[in-house]
Amino acid sequence: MKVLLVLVLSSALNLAAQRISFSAEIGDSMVHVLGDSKLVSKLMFYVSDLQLETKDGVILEMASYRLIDFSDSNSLVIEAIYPDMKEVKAIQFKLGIDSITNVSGAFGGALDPTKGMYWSWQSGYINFKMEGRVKDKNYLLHLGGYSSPFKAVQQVVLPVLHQSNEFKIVLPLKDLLQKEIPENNIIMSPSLAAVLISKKIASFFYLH
Amino acid sequence: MKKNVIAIIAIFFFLLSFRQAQKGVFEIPYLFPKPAYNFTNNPLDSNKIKLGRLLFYDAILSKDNSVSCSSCHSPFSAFAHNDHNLSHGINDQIGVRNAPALFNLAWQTTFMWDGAINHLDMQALAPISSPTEMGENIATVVSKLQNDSFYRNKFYQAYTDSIVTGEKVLKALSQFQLTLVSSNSKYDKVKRGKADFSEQELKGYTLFQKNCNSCHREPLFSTYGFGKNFIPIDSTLKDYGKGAVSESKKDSLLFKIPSLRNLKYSYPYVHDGRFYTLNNVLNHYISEETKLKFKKEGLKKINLSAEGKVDLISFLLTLNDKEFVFNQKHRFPRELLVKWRE
Repeated sequence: MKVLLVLVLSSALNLAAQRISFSAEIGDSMVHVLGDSKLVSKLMFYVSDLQLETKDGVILEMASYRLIDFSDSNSLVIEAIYPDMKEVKAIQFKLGIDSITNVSGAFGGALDPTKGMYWSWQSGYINFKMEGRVKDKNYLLHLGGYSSPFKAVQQVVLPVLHQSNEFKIVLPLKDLLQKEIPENNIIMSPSLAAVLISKKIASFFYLH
Repeated sequence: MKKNVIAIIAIFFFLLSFRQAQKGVFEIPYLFPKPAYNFTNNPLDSNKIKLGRLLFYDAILSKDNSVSCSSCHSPFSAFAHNDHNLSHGINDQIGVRNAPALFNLAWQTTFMWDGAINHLDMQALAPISSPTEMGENIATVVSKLQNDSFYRNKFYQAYTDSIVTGEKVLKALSQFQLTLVSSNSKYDKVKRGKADFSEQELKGYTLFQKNCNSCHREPLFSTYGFGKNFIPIDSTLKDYGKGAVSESKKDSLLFKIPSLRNLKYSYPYVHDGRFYTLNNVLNHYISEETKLKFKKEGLKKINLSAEGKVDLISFLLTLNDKEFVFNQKHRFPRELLVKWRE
């Protein structure tokens, strides 16, 4: 219904619908929804200030805060409609939640603390959450931290080489599962390890 | 045409006045600084305050419906917990810290003895989720409230929407707690020219200003910053305060400075509740052991004779705010409950 509406509107008013979808790469497959996989049983992360930068330098806002949750396929797709779409140079977003939002009290929607992405014993959002079992060992990555020296939020910039009305952003999990997690299988508070792994994860994203 | 315009303007102002009557204005007491809480994100509203008060007194926030906020924050103790050095929780568990008194929260930017919480709205998540306090999680609290017709109705009255969310629960709890303002002690009345200190209280006030005011700064009687109280570390609790949160050595043994208002009601004192009387606390601060620690840290030592101690205590007792402690609006919301929970 929503798609139909978008199509009708865009053809009638010459509007351009832009989609961004997220997927995770586990092994050789692109995963949209985690089944009952033991390897990765939970994968959730915040994407904030999602923007498209056009060739003529204009910034188009797509979403302020989104919780990408691989147990809910609807959360993986972000759509926006623009009156006049120009060529896109890059997609940029923050992996996580900025410091100001972290110190400004309660919010609703994607930021509601019922989403399981907020620490309770110590204030702060969990930017990135991944849980499962690898090499017979359970792992829990709860990455966050909003104040120096453990500020974990990361800027991601993905250059766009081929124009499309759907950009597919992929997070490959291979290096995390094979390198980072075996070394550091439990991270549940702001720490240097959380910052370093957040940086690595931010560098893994690519456009399919 | 002109008449119509005037009529429209009149209706507009009539509606506006109606709106303002519903919204509570937060009054800043005489000499108090500007509050730190950002009311634009959560404007006070009488129905939201009522909802927050119901939630504050309701054990529905705990896992087995046995513990409410008021279990450890009783109005008659200035919202602290008398006779309990450490907080209690579900299944008769004992926590690790002394439940602090709750008042003048709008002027505070960090919460808990170790400052782990950065905003009043987020504070309630800590006791709700702590396994030794309420042992619950906010998502379950939301669904319990959503399934309760009494609360659906109250959320509708407060937010014109009966959908319960974590944000609404937390902001309503903030609203009630923001109304817990203590500003009617004898000290406040003296400052407003409505009362006079006795000679002894005045002597005590001078001693207070000389020895205590740098941390327990008037008129809130705390900077709400962090300081060392130099009490020897408890070997079972091993509490390093702020240092345990920030993992930074310079924060080790720093605890949030408590206000000295309402001390008559809020004993026992300090983060582990080891002192039951003001005399105990002052004896600690003037002991040789503590004086040495003050010297080592480069702090001005506290000078107090036996007589001075009595004078200082008589001043501290002028900070008790009976009107606050016995304020009906802060009590168990009997009048708001249309039915009793089983």
